Amino acid sequence: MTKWLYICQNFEKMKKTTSISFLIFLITFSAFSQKGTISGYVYEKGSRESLVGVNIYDPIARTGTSTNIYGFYSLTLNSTDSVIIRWSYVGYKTVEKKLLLKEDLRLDIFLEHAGELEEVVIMGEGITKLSEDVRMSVMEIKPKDVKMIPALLGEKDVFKALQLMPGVQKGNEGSSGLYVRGGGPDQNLIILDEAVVYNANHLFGFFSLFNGDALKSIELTKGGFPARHGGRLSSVVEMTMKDGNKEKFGGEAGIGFISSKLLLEGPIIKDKSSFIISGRRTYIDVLTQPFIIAQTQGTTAGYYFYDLNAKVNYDFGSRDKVYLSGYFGRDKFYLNDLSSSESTLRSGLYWQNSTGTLRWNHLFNNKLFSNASLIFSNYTMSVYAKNEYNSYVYSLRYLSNVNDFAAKYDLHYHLSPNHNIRFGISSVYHLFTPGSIVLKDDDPSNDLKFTKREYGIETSLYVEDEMKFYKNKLRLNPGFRLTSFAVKGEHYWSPEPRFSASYMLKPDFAIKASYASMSQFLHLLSHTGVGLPTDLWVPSTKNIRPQNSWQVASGIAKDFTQNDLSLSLEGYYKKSDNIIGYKEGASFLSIDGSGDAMEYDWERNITNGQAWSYGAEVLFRKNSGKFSGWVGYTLSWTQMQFDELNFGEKFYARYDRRHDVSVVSIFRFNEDISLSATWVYGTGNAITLPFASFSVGEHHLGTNNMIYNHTVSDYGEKNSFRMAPYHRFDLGLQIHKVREKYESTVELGVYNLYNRKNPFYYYIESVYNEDRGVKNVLKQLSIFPIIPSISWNIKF
Amino acid sequence: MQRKINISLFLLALLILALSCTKELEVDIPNNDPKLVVHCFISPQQDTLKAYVSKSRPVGEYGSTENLNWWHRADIVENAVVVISNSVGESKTAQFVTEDTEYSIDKYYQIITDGFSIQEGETYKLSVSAPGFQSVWASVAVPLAYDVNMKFKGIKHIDNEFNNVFLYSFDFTDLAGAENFYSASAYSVVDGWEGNQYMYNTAIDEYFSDANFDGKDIGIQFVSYYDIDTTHKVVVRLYHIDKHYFTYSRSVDNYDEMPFSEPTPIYSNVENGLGCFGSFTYSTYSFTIEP
Repeated sequence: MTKWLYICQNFEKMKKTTSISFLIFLITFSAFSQKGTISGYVYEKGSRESLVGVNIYDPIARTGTSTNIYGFYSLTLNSTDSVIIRWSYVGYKTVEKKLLLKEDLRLDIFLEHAGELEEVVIMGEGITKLSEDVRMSVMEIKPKDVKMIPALLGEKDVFKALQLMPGVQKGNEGSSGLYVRGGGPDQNLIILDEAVVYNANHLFGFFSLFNGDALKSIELTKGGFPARHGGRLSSVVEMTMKDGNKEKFGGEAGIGFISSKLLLEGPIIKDKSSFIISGRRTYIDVLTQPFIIAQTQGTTAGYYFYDLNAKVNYDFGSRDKVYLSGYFGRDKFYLNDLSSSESTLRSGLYWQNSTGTLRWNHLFNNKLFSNASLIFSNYTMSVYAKNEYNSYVYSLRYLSNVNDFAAKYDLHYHLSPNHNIRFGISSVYHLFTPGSIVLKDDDPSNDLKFTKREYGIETSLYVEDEMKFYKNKLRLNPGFRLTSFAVKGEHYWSPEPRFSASYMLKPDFAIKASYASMSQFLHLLSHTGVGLPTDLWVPSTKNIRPQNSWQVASGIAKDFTQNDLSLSLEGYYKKSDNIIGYKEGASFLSIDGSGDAMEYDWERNITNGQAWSYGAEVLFRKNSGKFSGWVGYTLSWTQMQFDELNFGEKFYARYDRRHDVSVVSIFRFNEDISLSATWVYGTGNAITLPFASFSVGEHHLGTNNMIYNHTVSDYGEKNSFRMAPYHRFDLGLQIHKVREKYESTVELGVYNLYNRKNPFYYYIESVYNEDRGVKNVLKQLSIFPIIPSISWNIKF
Repeated sequence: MQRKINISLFLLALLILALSCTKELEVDIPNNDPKLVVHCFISPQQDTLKAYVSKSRPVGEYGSTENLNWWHRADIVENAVVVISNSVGESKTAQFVTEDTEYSIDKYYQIITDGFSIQEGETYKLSVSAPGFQSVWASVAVPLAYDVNMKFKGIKHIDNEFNNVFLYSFDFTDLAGAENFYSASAYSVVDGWEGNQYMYNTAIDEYFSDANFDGKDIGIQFVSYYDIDTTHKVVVRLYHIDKHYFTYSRSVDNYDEMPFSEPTPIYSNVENGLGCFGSFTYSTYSFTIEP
């Protein structure tokens, strides 16, 4: 208790000191800034939706900036004379203005949609170029591209689209888990409007939570992490929800094979406040229920998922904006048998995510932008069963969840053309229930009630400065993040230096390098790595140290401006320590009521290890025009070592993947018809399989005899079997119709066009022959053959 | 009613339910031939050494359903050549014997240590070859049976709703600077009647190491169900086992086949094959205990 008080007091002191330092810092810099500054928001014309990543460029001074995730920009220029400024964004018409910069200017800009077929070429300058970005290992995907990429059963999926990027493994069949540069799906920081989403899967990972309808921007960072992000080792997926149309009511609706969706948006107070709400639900259970009941005479079983995004915002004048956004989604399997009056069964499994974010954007002046956030996030998984047989009642409820309560304050200071500083503080209170079990039956002495709770406080401070030197040829982004994690009986500190640099060797050609040190205080206990809802989130504890990693990457970036083409080539090396894995034979899935409560103590079931990951990635991409898309290739290795796994020997990670290829192409024939195709290839996963069986015995020390008492499997080295390579070709045809009041799109899709039997799972089956005895055979299960789909969307 | 719910099976069922359009394929595993399985545990304190040789049955190959039948072990390899050698090049070939007792048939390769002694600290190599199999070999260093200063710490009577037992505690000093592995057993002797009152090793695993206890005292406890009210003797035998023995035995103890759990491989130090070539020595300590 005293230690907690000490931490809290220190935290209070720290807060005071930090606030004073910020103030001194700001006053000092403001005093020296005598140059002209243009600042404001960039919106979409017609909806007043703020735009993220719009490039603001001065072609004479050859300097620029881009809008942040709230659509705000600030560009300070040395010149106090007349200047030319361009605001440009892929898919929108560029705005160019000649301005007399006598004093600081506040300029909100409205960009108009360009036709889909228009090549966005602005005299070789203006568009955000890969070679001019100090960041590396960053992948952006526009929600509208997600809508164009063909998908399984027509269910558009943000994560499936991210998987098509180099450095992100294509997962297993149907899986939407992200495996970034050798990291597991638990090592991705998935943030939706600042809130962390813990389990981003629907239907055991076949679909992700995000269909893209309500999203404004999607960005994946694989390395060279800026200091503002932390808490996970492998990647940051940052998603921003749309604000909602501030000018008129509108919406979108869609009907697909397995689900329907609806989005509504509109002004609450015109030009000041708007809302957006978007929902989706599957309906297989509803459609199949009558047949199941008829077949089973009373048993009902089914599965559904739904998700809901909602957001409202309000502009309090030109300096303050408030946003309230939330997400709720749930998956549920159920099996109820009420057919007999003597015996009834109700059972099921559900998992759900909910997040909520309240944010306040405040502009102190035209250079200093701030955002304060209050964030809530929850993930819950529960299994329940209740069996009543005459007077006998047996019930079980198993629950695991994680709750986050966070406060965050970020400042973005556009100091000068050469310095762009971000700094901030965040604190998260994590409350975990890794396992809670309630078991009851007719004999009260057998009842079991067990709940284990863990909590932790994660507090971070960060500062980073994006700098430009030598006529903007040299760009640096040094940063530092300091995180503390306090749990019962332990307090961890993690200093994390970050650095990225780029140097323009020639116009449109840059070399880049980055270093990032990361730490992760939360761990996902996963048996399969495929994102089952039974995977548990747990914190670092006194016994389980935080995971940490460092990563270096270097590469080149080349833009072919005339054709809006870009090429990036990167190599990386990542070393992770204290990563966690299950001990051999450990399982969290078997609950035995007769055992003692310690059986559920997860700390006993895990082991610490290290991982090495290295590789090279190539991405050749075309962003706009009649023909767009990309080709990505990854060559990589991922190895792991745990003292308590594979007898301490190194082994290849399950998701070690030597070759990984993706080709994505979207061809717009005209305004009405477009065709999209993807082809992916990946080396098979490395798994452990029983190659043979043999008799094994225990040696009796007293008598020196062997007692052969069971048959066991010979697994060989861990993960020494390679699944068959994965490849697949998907095709989609979109037919658009634009009418005065609405736009409709019919999409015909074919998943796995050449019907490749990709492996999903391997298992052993025994075959008996009267003459020859018994043999075990290895079988491969494939789940998705060629699957056609049709869906219809309407936008009004 | 069985109070056991296996969520993994429940999940598996749901998953299969969800994946109604599945396709199965039979898959060949390349280069998956039967391997020789060798189990041999040597000790200077044994007159004869036994090597058990059997074969593994690869996936895809037919075999008898009676592999583990007490009377008929179909997987035993009877035509192997089993040779043990020491570091100075002396070797001895084993003979295949069938030991037919009233209760079982035991088939193994026997090495009579006459003229070829097993010594503490020495390294031995075991080579096994048989027609149709890749030759296999393994080496082991025999652990030293050094004095561990075994001490009797006391008896504790535990009487609660679950148990009514007597806990005999001992401790011994580990040899510092080396990685040591142990197993222990004990029995009590009352009025000269030996052996019947075997005591159960408790509180520590059957096989244990000096990890975190290097050079320190290690406590061991044995459970007796008998309240012995006369002066009696307790004999403790401490086995020094080698790392291969330890790792193999641990892996056999931990073996489990559960869906969704990490596979538990069986350890082997046999090159090209399976099984274990291990070694042990022991020291015996006798204590006279007053009631």
